[in-house]
Amino acid sequence: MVKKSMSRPNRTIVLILGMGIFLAGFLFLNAQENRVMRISVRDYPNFSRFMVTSSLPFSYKIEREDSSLLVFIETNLSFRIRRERFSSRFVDSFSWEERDGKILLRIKPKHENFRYDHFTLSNPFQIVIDLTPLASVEGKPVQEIEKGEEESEKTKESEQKTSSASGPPEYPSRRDTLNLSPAGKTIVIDPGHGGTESGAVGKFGSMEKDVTLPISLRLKNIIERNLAYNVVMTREEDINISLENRSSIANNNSAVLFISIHANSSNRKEATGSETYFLSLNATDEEARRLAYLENATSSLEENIEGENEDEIKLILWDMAQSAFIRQSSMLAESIQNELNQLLGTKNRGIKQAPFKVLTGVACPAVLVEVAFISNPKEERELQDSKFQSDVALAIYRGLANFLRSYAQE
Amino acid sequence: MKRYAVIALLSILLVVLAFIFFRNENNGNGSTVPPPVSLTEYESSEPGETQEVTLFFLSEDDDLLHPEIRKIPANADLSGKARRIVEELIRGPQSGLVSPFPRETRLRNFFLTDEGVAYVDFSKEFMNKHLSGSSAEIATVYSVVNTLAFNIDEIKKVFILANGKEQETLGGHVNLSRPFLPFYNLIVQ
Repeated sequence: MVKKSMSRPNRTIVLILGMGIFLAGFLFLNAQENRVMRISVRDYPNFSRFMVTSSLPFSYKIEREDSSLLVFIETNLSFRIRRERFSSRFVDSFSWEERDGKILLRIKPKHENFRYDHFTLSNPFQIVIDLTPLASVEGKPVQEIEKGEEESEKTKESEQKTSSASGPPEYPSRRDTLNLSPAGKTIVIDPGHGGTESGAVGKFGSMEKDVTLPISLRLKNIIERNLAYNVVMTREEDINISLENRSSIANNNSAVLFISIHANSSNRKEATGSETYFLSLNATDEEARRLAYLENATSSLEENIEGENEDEIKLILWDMAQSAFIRQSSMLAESIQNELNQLLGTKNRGIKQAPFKVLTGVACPAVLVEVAFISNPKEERELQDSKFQSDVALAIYRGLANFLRSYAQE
Repeated sequence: MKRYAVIALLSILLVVLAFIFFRNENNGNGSTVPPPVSLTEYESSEPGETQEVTLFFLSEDDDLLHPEIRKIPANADLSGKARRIVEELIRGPQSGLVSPFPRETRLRNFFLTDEGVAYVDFSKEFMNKHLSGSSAEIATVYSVVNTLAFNIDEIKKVFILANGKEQETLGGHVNLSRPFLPFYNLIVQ
């Protein structure tokens, strides 16, 4: 036999080599498993941020082609591309293809006229591309054109009316926050959790994400039947939506109200009932940051703060947009809680404050309603009951309608 | 030929071992976790001196935090005392109150900055096994924050981490990306 003629050291070398190849192959496969590129888009007041996050660094090149932005990713490795759902004022869509062994990413902004900046971060490797829409040919800011002539005139009028009103200072987006007249205005309903994020789970296995959706849909129907507002849902099916995107959806639709629907859970067996929350600001910290900003912003943010600082400050503000609406949010919460108390015959249950992530970035009155405790077996069953779901939706509707009415009079 | 077979078998074994090794490394979130300090160790080290601390837990009576007084070995070192308080807290109540922590929770790490910000790093079970509902998350967070700030004046704010990392939320509700100030309104009067 040929093999027999091989000397022993030779045989060992062949074996070690074989094992080496085996291991290398294994490691390669293993590494490939981790090779994921995640693409996400997030809105800031004046720009949209497009982010490509990857487990491995790569070099890239950005080119402009007509109204699109092309990102050439120079790698001969294959990546799994995972995209996050997004809603953005400036980014319309993006797509990718393989071309000459490169990955070509095509970003389509909503406006032809835009500026872009890019930089990279490491650990994990990330390309960040900021897209800023520029003023259109007529020299008007893009946002105003979007609104349409009539409406922008209307808003200017009401801006004058409301600017003298007391209450928290206006958020610098210059959005008319106190004008709650329904024409063309949007209420955003946020069914908590979704997709792989099931939220709290009851003893009988019902999941928070599965009860928040039908209640939200019922609320949507009631509002649409009774009020002239548009209703936008952050999700209408069982899918993952990041908390940031939920507030982006509210802000991009210039929502007048944001209602997040949840089901509660506690380690206490006795915990029952409905609760309405508004955001707690973690007291002094956030208030201090807000005041520090307001002191700087005497006339116009753009004039006072230069360059990079400007973006940074806007970013901080965007993250805490809700801080300017705490008073209205507490009133909305109270109005909804009153109705829930009447429905359920509970007294003495007041509104509550908590540092909920989903509320921090919302730039309008915003509350989170904990409909009932899914951790309590009796309430878990109720949450599944369609009559209970409608009753709760109706109570929330009454609460928000009362709030809108009293605000319209103010 | 026999030897050949033995070597082949050994190499297969090696590959399998390598497979297991790399697999573990991939999901090895907790491979560097220091083992939680055993409680008996503390108790035996300083026999005489103790000090009283106040721990805050839930109660079936209402949705507020209720105090439980507990004796711990006296500890001159602030961080040591804070660690011990958190460990006592996640060990659960002894007076019929309700624990807001998953039973499997361990303290991975703790440190205190000169500015009075306490960083409390829990094991991943703190999040994984959590009930994740608004009330449950609020109770857990403020049990830690209020207990630490109440017992140690130097602690002004508490940053809660899990598995060595900053987390967005505890279970989808309460924001963990910023440090917490104590919120004593949640404590029973």
